[in-house]
Amino acid sequence: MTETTEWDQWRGSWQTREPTSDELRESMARFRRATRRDSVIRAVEWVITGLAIVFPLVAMRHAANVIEATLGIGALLIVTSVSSFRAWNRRAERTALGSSAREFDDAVRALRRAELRFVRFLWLVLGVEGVFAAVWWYGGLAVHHSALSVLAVGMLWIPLMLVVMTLVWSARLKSDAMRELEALAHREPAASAVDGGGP
Amino acid sequence: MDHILESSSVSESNQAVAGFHVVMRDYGARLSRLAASYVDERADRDDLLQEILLAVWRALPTFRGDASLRTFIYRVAMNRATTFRARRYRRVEYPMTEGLRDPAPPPDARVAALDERERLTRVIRSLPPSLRDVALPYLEDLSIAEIAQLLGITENNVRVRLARARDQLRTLLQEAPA
Repeated sequence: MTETTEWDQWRGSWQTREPTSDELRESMARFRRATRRDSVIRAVEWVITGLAIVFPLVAMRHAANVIEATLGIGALLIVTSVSSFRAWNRRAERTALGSSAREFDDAVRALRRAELRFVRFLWLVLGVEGVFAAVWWYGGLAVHHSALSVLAVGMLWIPLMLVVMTLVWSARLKSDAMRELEALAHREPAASAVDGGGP
Repeated sequence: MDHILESSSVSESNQAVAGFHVVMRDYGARLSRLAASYVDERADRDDLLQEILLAVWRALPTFRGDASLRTFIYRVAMNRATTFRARRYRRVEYPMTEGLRDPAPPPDARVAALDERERLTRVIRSLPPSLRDVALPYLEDLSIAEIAQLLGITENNVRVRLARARDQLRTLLQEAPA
């Protein structure tokens, strides 16, 4: 059997695999649901980011000393940098999607390494942020405990919750990035082995 | 498939979504086949197809016409499928001929024909990524030049990989039960 005939035969068999009408209808429905969910998630992310920026700003108005004010600015910088990093990362990945497979692999590798660097940076500043939140929480309660409403006391927990949430998110980001880098590392030798030989 | 697309509730006034309808009409079946060739489980296939459709939808505005639309969509789909697989599975991708040796013979000719396609899909899925990346678009009628553009390699490299893919496909299909 010649090469062309063999490929033609496989092609014929391959292209007869058409999804059914029900499957396509289901795909379109799932796609519409996914776009809606995506929009909602992005809106929620914007709200969370907005709150995460506004909260330290408001808190800084009541900063008891320079240390608290400085740490509040640090918190603002972290939130802004996380948000900017995610936006940049998404845009870079979306742009890279239309590149050739080799360029895409390079882009993904660079993005994942940037994510790992970012996670390391984040863990350093999260420590500082944790100190800020703990001081703010302890100091706030000590000074204002008699005048605080239940809502205000509840809000005192928000910075600490944000620190924990960011920590969990960054751990997942690191894990995903390492997994993808590992998969890419395994793709490289396989491709090189193929390209190195003759026809 | 047209009636399915026409019956969808997405607003026609939205140009991006309307453009996406055209993509679905012309490429829906190909993208579905591509998803099936990357992941095994039905649920994973559905998830991957959804991811691919979303990726194509988001990437379409960045299409500048430096390649054909077909090549562009295939690039986006394959790139998304690669990252999906990398995120979903920790294991390294190697040929898994053991996975091809399973079920009992089909009861009739129609089922046998379906099984033949499924067998080919499973064999394609078990190819090493570097060979699957050239075999898939070749089976979808992309030219060698288009595949070279798709993968960012030379046409000679594509020919080399196609020759190796053919050898492996032949071997794997012989090993896999009909």
